Formats: sequence, structure tokens, C-alpha cells
Amino acid sequence: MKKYLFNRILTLIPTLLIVATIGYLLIYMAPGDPAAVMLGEEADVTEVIRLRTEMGLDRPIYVQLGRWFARIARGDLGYSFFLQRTVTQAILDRLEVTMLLTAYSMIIAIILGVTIGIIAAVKHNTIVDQLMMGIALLGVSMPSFWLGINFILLFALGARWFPAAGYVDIADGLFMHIRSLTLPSLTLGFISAAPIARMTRSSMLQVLNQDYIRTARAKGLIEFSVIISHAFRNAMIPTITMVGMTVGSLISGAIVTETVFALPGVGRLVIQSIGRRDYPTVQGVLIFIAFIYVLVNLLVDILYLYLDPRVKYL
Amino acid sequence: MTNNQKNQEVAPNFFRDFVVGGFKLMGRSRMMSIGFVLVLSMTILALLAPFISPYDPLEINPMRRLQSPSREHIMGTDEVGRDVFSRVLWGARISLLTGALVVVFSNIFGIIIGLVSGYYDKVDKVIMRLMDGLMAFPIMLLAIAMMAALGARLSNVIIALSIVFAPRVARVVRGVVLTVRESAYVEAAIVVGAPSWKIIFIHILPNCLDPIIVQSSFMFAQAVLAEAALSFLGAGIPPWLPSWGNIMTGGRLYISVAPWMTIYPGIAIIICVLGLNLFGDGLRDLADPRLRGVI
Amino acid sequence: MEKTRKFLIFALVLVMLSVLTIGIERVFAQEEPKFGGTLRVAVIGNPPTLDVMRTTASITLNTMWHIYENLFTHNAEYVPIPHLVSDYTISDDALVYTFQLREGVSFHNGKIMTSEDVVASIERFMRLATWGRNLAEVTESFEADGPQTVVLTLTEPVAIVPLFFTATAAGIMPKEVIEEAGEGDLKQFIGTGPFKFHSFEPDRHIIFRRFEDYAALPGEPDGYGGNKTAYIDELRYIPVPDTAVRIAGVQTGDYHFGEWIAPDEYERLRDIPGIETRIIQPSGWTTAVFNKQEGLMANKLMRQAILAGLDMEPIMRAAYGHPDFWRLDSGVLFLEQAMHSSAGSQYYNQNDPDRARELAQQAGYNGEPIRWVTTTEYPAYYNTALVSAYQLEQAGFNIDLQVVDWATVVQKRADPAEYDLFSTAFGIPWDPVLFLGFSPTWPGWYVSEEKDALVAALRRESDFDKRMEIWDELQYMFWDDVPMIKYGDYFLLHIHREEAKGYAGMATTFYWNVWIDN
Repeated sequence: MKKYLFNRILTLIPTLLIVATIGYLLIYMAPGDPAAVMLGEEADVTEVIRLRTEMGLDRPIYVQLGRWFARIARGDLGYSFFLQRTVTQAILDRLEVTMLLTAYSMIIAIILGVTIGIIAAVKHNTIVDQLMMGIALLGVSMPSFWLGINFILLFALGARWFPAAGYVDIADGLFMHIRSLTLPSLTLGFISAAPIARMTRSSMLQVLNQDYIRTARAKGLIEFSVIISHAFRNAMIPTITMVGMTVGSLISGAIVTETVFALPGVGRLVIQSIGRRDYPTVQGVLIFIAFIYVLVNLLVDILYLYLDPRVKYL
Repeated sequence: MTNNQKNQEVAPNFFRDFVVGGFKLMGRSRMMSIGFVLVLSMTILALLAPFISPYDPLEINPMRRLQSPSREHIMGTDEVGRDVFSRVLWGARISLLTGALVVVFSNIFGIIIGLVSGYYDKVDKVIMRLMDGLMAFPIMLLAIAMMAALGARLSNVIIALSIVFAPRVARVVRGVVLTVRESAYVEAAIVVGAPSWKIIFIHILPNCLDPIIVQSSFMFAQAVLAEAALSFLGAGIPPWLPSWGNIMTGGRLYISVAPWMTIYPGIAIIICVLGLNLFGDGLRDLADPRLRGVI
Repeated sequence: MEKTRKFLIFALVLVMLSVLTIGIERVFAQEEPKFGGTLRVAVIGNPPTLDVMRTTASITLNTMWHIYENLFTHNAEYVPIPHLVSDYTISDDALVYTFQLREGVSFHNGKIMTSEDVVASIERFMRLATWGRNLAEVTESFEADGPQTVVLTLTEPVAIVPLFFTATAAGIMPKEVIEEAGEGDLKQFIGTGPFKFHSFEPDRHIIFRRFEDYAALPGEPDGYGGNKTAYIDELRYIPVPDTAVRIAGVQTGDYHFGEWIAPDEYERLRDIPGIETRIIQPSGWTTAVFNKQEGLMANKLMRQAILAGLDMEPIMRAAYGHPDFWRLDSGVLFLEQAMHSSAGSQYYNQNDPDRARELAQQAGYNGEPIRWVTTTEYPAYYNTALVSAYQLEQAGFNIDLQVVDWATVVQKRADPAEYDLFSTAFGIPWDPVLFLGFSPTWPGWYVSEEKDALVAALRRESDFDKRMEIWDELQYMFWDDVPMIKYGDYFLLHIHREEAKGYAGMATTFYWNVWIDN
């Protein structure tokens, strides 16, 4: 176990190196010119060439890659072309939004998923079961941006309960803050609830069939308390693992959701930085996201290993 | 019961059922048959698109732009006066083709990589590091970066998504290989000196088919969604082509004046992807209930 | 009886008159502007840089000009008037301009503006900005003559000297700030304007605050100049890429202003109480620029062929929708401008596929793909290109429509080997001399000695009638050479909440003199 852990952590380093190199090459292969973006619509060609040289973009790619790695090794992610701050600072500026969005979405996904899962398991093989699982499956079956746009249409443009876009700091009032993240979190939460629901349902089914639950029922305990305090408590472990596995897809989903709702998070930062070829920022965010992603996966694996020693490779 | 024995038992029966009496199998799960019907009807619509679509999906007529649904245009028209219904029909072709080809290519890459990696210890570490690296990118991010590098073409979307999904196939295949390889009969085959390719094709590959087929239906669903998301983020196929993602993305600008541009292709996607997911769920339950939660 | 009737009529007239006066009173009663509040403005995106001299990006210029001021600016009729200059004289040979600067004008850092700052700013402008380099070509020297006087000496007469100084890139900043920037970007953003820069958080906001020591001109506001007052405490620009979301935010009260609203929303928004719509006429014109240096379109006949094949009305309708927001016109300058010309209009909007084919045949065109680079990041660029490509394909041309992101457009268009046409749009061309489309170094490379000679003649000539003669000749050449295709004029739509008052609705939006009525 310890050896496994040590090995896993050790392999993080090559993984991140691979991420960095792949990301770097992809972005540099992409056509597009940050100097021309910076100079605007009416800049003439001589000006663009001059700025490219000034920004060091005319040097061969291996030189640029080498310099970049040298800086990364010192823990320096570089300076953004467009944001007037270091890449590290740019990421830190936006981390709060993405972390809170992910956290709120996770809460919604858990509430939705667990509720649906429990109801489906209790009403196993009835129309209610199928309806509940159908709803959960509907969530993973729609494009998140489509759901987001429809939420905007219904609850922001129509009912005007929530703002259509934008982010309000917690410092500017908790109510407004929650209000600004409600629709994005609902969008992301709903599309992430299905796996949790499925896992809750199947592990609940296993537990519900076991002797001690029958005993509890026989003792005349009311159904609700049986389900919650006996069955669900024992069915929770696989569900927790599944929640961990959802984090990865939440990060992916945050990229789209932040774009739909114009939230100033890390996901939108990377999309916009790709859009204007802000190479240092794209690289920095890629490494950062990959690091988080790998770390979460590692934690989930450890959790999985810890909870279910039978599973080794899947 | 070990995982390995289980696979041994289930695989042949499952496939005999699947090939010989697909419909009998459907009867076992109502949800699965609903899924099958949904996917089948979408496929039929996609195939028939050239015959049943009332207009050329590329025909531009700005004089009739942004018209609400009517008898002439049952799903309305878009910002340059193209018929949305025709575009949604043709969109089924492009979206399903994208999904199908992504499944094919990512399976081909993934199976080869997974087999090689699981079977040959020496390359395993290197290959799996690379796969881990690729999987450390969130799906969308890697796809966007690749599209930026490759350029907006349908073939590039398929390539990008195949590369994104292949490591996931490889991981599953490798897992199966590692378990099967330890089984007594494979060890026996190695001892008697059977060639590697024979062991791989006769003993190992059939065991991978279950999870691969189950995973394929989900991958299909994810590829259809990913194509749409790529279009939405401006990194998809050329915007004049009628894919569901493109139609919706075009509609976003006109969401409050012409919501039909966004809503109808969205419903088409939901029908298709929901069908695939229901079908995949059914397959998974039939193939091996233990795969729940893993794929 | 008669008397009673007369009295009744008299009474009626009296009542009507009084009603009328009340009405008139209401119209003329100036509501007293109120100070205070934060004005929230939803705009489409982030500025790529905040340095107004280093970029031509309109999002930078249109936000940052709240903190800078110029020697000259435009009045309500878009004619240059002095602003930081109090008075100026021109020598008899028209080569020496002597500018007296206004006294006691304070920068945001407390320093008083002197000729040193003006010289430093204009020198940087002449080194970095497009208009500035244009001015530098004919400038012998630009020097201080005492603390309140600067002298511009030209190498040849220039008709439009004040116009050059109206560029936002010619904003006056302290000498120290410019020295600190060196060869790179500005590190501090300090001007003399009614607002001072507070902060820039990309994707969140740009914040400007009222500058309390602003040296306002006395009198009334006049266009971009005259008296400027910052009624609002804070001006907050919020980037909101989706037009639907900008509208929703104005409706719900999250934003006071929404800029660049899709014209298709106009009819709906016009009827919503509490929301005002403003059509900015004119705003600019949309175009596709040929690569005249290399490839198929280096051949003038091919360019004429493409022009001949296009039907502008469907193109403009697809791009701008509602007919109140676009206009078919062949002028390089707008109908609203004194120098508007109709020369060459017979070549505009021909919609003649037969002639297009004929010209293409003469040019030896054989169905080679025509690479047209455009982007969906500006829907109007994409839609004009899409409909044009459709029309041209119907006429037998083979169009390779390359839809890429904006970063790729600006890279490709700078490389003559990469494209045949690209889509773009121009703002208001203030004068033919400064019209970007005539630049030989701007992408597309319009290189022509005759054209350059006419532009130079226009720069020298100050008599209006003589200028018009030259301009007619030049614009005819523009339509005959076809360096680009003008599709038509477009007008922007801005919306605001009715409690935001005092908005001028000019070509470039500004929020001084705007106040919030609570």
C-alpha cells in the first residue's frame, strides 16, 4: 500500500511533464498571433512584425520551449501577454470562482443524485424507479451549455429570479453571491448527478436485501428511519467514491459553464487565453488544471483502494 | 467468483444472445428497448435526410430570416434564412457520423494500445504514463487545444475526439488483459509456446469485448455531446455545416428573438444521447452488473 | 347667448393655451443632474492591453478615453475643436503651428500639465500609433516653446492638422509615465480626463472613478468636447460576451447600459418600458479586403469580377437584420459627412453574375479555390462572408470559406501567402487621408503610385472644393481598383435604463455628463 502510494506520487511528475509538453506543442502548432491580437484591427503589418520580435515569438520553438521549462523548474509560470500580471496571480485571481462553482455544483449533484438514487432503490422495479433513473439520465444526455442557456431563458430573462451572467464576490453580500452562482451550479450539478444516482441506487439495493435490514423492518422500525439510518449509511461508501470520480468531470464542465454564464473563473481564463494565444497563461493554466486533476484522481484511487481492496487495476 | 471466471462465462452467452436474438434481449429491459428505438429512429432520420428534408440545408435566403415555425418551416428559419428542420435532419447525419467514427477510431487506437501495454510489461510503464498524461487534461480542454492546432474540419473533430477517448479505452482493455493474463489457460498457452498474436486474439481479445461494447455506447453519447460543446466554444467543425452543435451555437445569439434555433436541435441531441445512454445502461446490466460505476 | 359663446370660446382657448404652456414647460424644464452612484456598463469583451498608443483595438480606445484628453477633439458635428489647447496660430506658409496650452490642467497624479508632457506624449504617439506615424511623415519637429506653448513644424502644408490630434492614441499623459514605459507598455494610466483609472480585473471589470480635481472647460458640452462633468462616482465596465445576457442584465437592472446589442432585438426592446434604445448612426462600414500582393486577387479583373457578382441587400440583411441598422451606400465617407462622394457608385451593388463570370474569364480564372478568411467572433463578418460566398458560388466561383478565430484571422491576413480575402469592418473614416484602406502597409497591401499621389494631394490641399475634386477622383479609383468590397453602412444599437440620463449617443460612447436618477 505504502509502496503503491509512493509510486503513484512519483509518477505524477512524468505525467505533468507530458501534459506540459503536449499542451505547449498543441498551442504553438495552432495558427494565430498574440502580437496581432494585441495591436488591434487597424495595425499595419510592419508594426505586427516588430511586436512579434519584441515578444520573442520569432525564436525557434525549441528555444522557447527550453526557456519555458527552465522557468517552470524554478516554479515560475511566467507573465501573461494580456492580463498585466503573472500567470500565477491570474490563476489565483480566478480560483475562488471555479472552486466555489465546483463545490456548489457538487452539493447539488449529491443532493439530487442521492435523493434520486434512494427513491429509485426503495421503489425498485416500479415505474417510479424508472422515472427517477430517467430523470438522472436526462441530465447526462443534454449539452450543458444548452441547459444553461435554457435556464437563462427561463429564470433570468423570463422570471428574473437570477442574474443572467456574471459573478458577485462573497464580500459584496452572501445573498447576491449565492444568487449569482445559482443557475451555473444547477446546470453543472444536474448534469453531474446521474452517476451518483446510479451508484446510490445499486448499492442501496444490495444493502436493502441484507439480513439486518430485514431484521430492522421486522422489529417494526418505520420505513424512513430504516432507509436513512440503516441502509443509506452502509450504502454511502461506494457513493462517496463516485462523488470523487465526478470531480474530474466537474472541472471539465466548469469550462463550458463559466463560458455560458460569463463567470471569471479558471475555465473561462483558459478558453479566452487560447482564443487570444496568450501562450504563458494557457501553459500555466493547463499545468495547474492537470495537477489538480491528477491529484483528485490519486485521492479517489486511494479512497477506492482503501474501501475495496479487491479492485486493483480498474 | 473471480472477475476472470465471470468474464469467461458471460461473454459468449451474451454475444450469442446479442447476435442471434437482439430483440429477445430487448424484451428483458424496457428502458433498453426505449433507448434502442430512440437511437434507431434517429439513425433512420439521418439516413433519410436527403429524401425527407424539405429544403437544402445550405440554401441561404436572408429575405426569410428568423421566421418562427410555420407550415413552410416547421422549425422556423435561422439568421440567414436556412430551414432549421432541414438542418436538424442533416445534423443527425453529421452528429451520428461523428459519434460512430469516434467510437471506431478510439476503439482501434485504444484496443491496440491497451493490448500492447497490458501484454508487454516493458512498454507498459511508458505507454501508461503517456495515457495518464493525456487523461490528465479535462476532455474538453484537450479537444479544444487539438482543434486549435489542427484547424476546423469535420475530420479533425473526429481525430481530436478519438485521441481524447482512446486512452480511456486503453485503460479498460489493459485492465482486462492484466486479469486474463494471470488465468491458468493463458499461462498454459504461454508455456506450450503459443505465439503472442494467437494468445492475444484467441484468448484475450474476446474477453475485452464486453466492456468495450458497453463503453462504446457511452462514448458514442459523449462524442455527440462533445461535438456540440466544441462548436459552442468555437472550436468545432466549420459553422455553416449543419451539425446540431453548430445550429445551437448559431442560435445562441438570437436566443430571445428566435429560440427555435436553439431548442429544436437541443431536443434532437437529447433524444439521441438519451437513447444511447439508455441502451448503454441496458447493455451494461446484461453484460456484467459489476461494470456498474466503473465505466 | 352670443356673449356666452364668445366667453366659452375665450375660456376654451385660455385653457388650451395654459395646457400648452405646461407642456412646453415640461419639455424645456431641465432636470437637474444628480451626482453620485456607480454606472454599470456591459461591453462585449476585455481590452487586449490598456495602452491606447500601442493598440488600435476599439475596446481599449473606447474605455480608456475616459481618462485621457486631447489637444483637439470633435464637437457635436464631428468637426475638430480645441480642447487642451486654448488657442493656436498658423504661419502664413501653413508650415508652423503654434499651440497655446490651457493653464492649470491637472493630471490624476496631481502634477500640472506643461508643454514637456505634451511633447513627450505626442512623440510617443508619432512613434507608435498609426495616425501618429502618418503625421510623423510630414513633421519636421514638435517642440516646447516655454511651459505653455508647443510648436509643430511641418515639411509640407497639411490640411487636417487638428484632426490628427483628436486620436485617442494622442491622449496627453505625464512625461514621467512615458519615460517609465520606455520601449514597452505603459505601466501607469494617468491622464487629465474627468475620470481616473482605478483597476482592471480581466473578465470582471474595468473601474474608473471620478477625478475630483478635473479642470473642466466652462460652458456647455459640445460633442466630445466643451464642458465635461463626471456626475457618477464610479464607471464600471463589465465584459459580457453574449448579447442576450447584456440585454437581460439591462432589463433586470444589473447594468445601466448595454453596448453593441444585436439589431434583431430592436423591435422587442423598443416596446419595453424603462429601457431606451439608441441607434448610433453612422457607426462604420463592413467590408471584405482583397490580398492584392499575391495569388488570384492580385489580378484587378478578378477583384472586379467578385464585386460584380454581389447583391448587397441580402448580405447586409443577413448581417444586421432590422433595416434601421444598415444602409446601402457606395461612399467611403458617410452620407452624414461633408466630404461624402458618389464617385464610382455605378460599380457598387451590381448583382450581375453574368458580368462576374465574364470578368473572371478574362482574368483566366479556372475554378481555383478562393480562400476567404473570416471569423464567427464578429457575427457580421461571418454572415457577410457566408452570404457572399453563397452568391459567388451560384455564379460559378469556388469559395474556400475558412472560419477561424480572430487570433488566426489577424495572423493570416498579415501573410500574403495565406489568403485571398478577409472580412473586417471600419469605424468612421474621418478624412480620406486617414482612411486605413488606402494604407500600403495594412493587410491587403493597396500599393498604387497614383493613389498615393492623390492621397498626398488631399493632405496638402485645404480648399474644400478643390479637395472634393481630388476626392471624387480618388474614390472613383477606389471602386475601379477594388482594393476591398464595401458592403454597406451599419449602425450600432446601444440600450440603457431610463434612469441613466444625459447620454449623448455619439459615434464613440462616453459616460461623462451621464447621471443616474434614483
